Amino acid sequence: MRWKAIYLILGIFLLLGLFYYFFLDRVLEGSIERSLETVTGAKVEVDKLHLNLSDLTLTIGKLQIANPHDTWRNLIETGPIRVKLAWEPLFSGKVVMDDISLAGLMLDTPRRTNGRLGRSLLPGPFGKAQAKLNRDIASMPLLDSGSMQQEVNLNKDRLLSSYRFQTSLSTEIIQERINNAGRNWTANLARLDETKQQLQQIDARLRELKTVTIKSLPDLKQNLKTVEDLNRTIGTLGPQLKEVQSNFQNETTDIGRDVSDLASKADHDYHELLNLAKLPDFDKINIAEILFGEALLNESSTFINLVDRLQAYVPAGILANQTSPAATPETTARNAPRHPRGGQDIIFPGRRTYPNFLIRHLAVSAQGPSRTFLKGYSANASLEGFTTEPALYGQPMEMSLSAASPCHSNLSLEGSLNHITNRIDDRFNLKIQNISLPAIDFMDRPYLPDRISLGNANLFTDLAVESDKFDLHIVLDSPNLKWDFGAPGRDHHSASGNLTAEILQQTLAGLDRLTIDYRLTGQNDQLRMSVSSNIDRLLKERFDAAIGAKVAQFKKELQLEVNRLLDAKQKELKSQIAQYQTEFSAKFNEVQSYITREEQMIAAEQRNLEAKIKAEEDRLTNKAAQTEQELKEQGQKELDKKQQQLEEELNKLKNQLLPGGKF
Amino acid sequence: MFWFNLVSKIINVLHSDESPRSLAAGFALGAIVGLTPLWSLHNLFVFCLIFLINVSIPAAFFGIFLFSGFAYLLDPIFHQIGYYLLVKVAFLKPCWTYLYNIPIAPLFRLNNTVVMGSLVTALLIFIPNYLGFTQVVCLYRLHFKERVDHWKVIQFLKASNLYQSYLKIRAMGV
Repeated sequence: MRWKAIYLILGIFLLLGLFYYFFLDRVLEGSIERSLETVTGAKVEVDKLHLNLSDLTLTIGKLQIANPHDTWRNLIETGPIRVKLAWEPLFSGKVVMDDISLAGLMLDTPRRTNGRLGRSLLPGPFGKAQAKLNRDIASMPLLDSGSMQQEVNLNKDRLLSSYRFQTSLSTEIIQERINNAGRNWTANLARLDETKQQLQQIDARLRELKTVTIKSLPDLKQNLKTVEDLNRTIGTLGPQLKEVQSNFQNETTDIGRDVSDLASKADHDYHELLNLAKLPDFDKINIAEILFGEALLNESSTFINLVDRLQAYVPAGILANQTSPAATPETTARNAPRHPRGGQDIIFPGRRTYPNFLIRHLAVSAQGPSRTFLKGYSANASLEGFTTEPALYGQPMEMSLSAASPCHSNLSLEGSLNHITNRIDDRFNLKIQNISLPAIDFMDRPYLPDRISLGNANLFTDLAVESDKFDLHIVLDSPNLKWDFGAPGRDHHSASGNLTAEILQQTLAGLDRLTIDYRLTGQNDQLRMSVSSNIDRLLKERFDAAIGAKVAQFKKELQLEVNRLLDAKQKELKSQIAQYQTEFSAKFNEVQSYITREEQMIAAEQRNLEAKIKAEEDRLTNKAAQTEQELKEQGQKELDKKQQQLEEELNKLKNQLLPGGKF
Repeated sequence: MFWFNLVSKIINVLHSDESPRSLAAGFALGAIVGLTPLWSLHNLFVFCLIFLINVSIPAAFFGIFLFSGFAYLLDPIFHQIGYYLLVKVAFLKPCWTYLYNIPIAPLFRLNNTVVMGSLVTALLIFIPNYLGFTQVVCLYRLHFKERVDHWKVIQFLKASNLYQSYLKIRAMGV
């Protein structure tokens, strides 16, 4: 046995003990501060931290978390915090907090030092959304001093005389097209004349054929061939005529369509004239977005960033080196990834498998101490099942917070983070009633008030976060609104003489209740923001009451003028096209009827000749048959005669050779 | 420097007066640490044994170095062995389940296939390791020690400060 080695080991343990006694608390303080600073984006201070290994409790004397938007104030300042850890999971390298208690929680307390960390508050897509918001606000007509100072132009005649109508320009173009087409149509009419002349020649030939006396079958056939040639010639004229007609119809249809499209040009003219008239368009003005868009985006970005951070600490689903408690060894073996020396943890029934970090229950209650400005404040918060491996823990994280102030302000937050599977489903609901909101300055917004005091307001917020999208909905109801238009030392862009500005300022000054509906949705780094409020509705009503009737009358007259011009131009063009159509149709019908007549005549002549040829052929056939019969009869007679002569000669010869008639 | 240190330690261990059994025991214990994943609780006990009982500490570190060099290559085999023992052998399951559920035992991570496979392998070759290394040391000292002693590099090593330091530590009886 090496006794000196035992002393050495004891020495090492002594050193570890000294480290624990003198340094461990400081090291833990530093790591907690850094972790929380990453989450909040502002300075965090942890004081008097002590880890007691005998009963595994961690106590913190004081915790301060600076407000990232006002770094001279604390978001949270706490009194003593006590955390009770579980022994057994620690031996597996896992941290399970059985209970956390927190007392003396204070909000928005002043700081002695600046809590700024020196990093951008709106990185990534929020920065882009903020830039877009600023651009949108800058482009709104209400904030464009130049356009606001221009008078509304309700002088219709002046407006019409200075405007170059698109309808007229388009009419000129169509007119030019009709002229070009007219030249084609004239050429087509000339072609029809040529066709007519050809038909007349055919007609003359046909008549000539009729007058000639036919004496023989070849003559008949020659005439028939001539008639067939004439028929073929007239057959080629028909398609040519149809082509001419088709071209004419296509062109007239196209031009007719252009004439009809003049209505859209007239509509464009009408809207252009409205723009030139600089009529106030209330639909484009979103006062709520101008006044509160940036503030709401800032607040929502903080809120959503906090949720993002929270999600980063609570990953969804089964991690790469984990196995589900419900999995059998066989399924675990199949699913688990292979690591160089990692092996695979086989899970047996019985023992509870702990996540690496778990807070089973956290309860915080805060009561404002008497004799301080916090007297009357109270808060209660609870957190169930906060863990870095929710899939292993198997239950969603639930949180709730309720707080009340001496001035009857109430806050209620309910939240649920369901990261058991890979499909994240987080829901948060925040209600704040009777909250005292700070005044907001609008020193750089022309025609708008210098400051708004929202007074006590009610805030309702819902946030739903899923795997790749989120939906934040905030409704702010402020029943005691006050506007301030008179901050000294500011160029107010005097509203006198400017109708729009006057109405805007009167409307806002008379408004004592504000309801803002704000929605921010995001999907795959694409953010969409919408803000609406009762201000815009009221403004529209006021504008309508003040100048609505005049504007409506002006619009009506303008529309009539534009329609009158359109009707005149369309009528002119249509009559021109109709004239061409009439002329063409007359000529076309004449030629068409000529062709039809000639075709009928040729057909009749052809039939006549064919009948004659048939009759002549029949006659010749009969004549040939008769002649053949006569020839046959004559031949037979000649034959019989010769035969008789021969028989007689034969008998003579027999008698000579054989007298007595015997051979 | 590391290699120099290691080679000199190996040579010094073989040329020292320590008994072959002490050297072999240190080597066999080092083999357990070398073959199994280092950050396992059982290795704490093995280290305690190495430091507390009279086995050669340099031989133990030589064993750790030697076996850890190729233990990574054997991990797939250890995984198969561990998986077979933990999952496939039915009659052992109650034993593993019992160990899995009693306090402290889970900290040994015996439910891990590589830990289980490598530990079982290391324990199985412990006795062969011990006997084999004893024979190796005896044979070396009998046949090679005299010859190696005359090598210049060995004389250089012996003359080095490191060797002198080693002798001093040895003289302290650690």
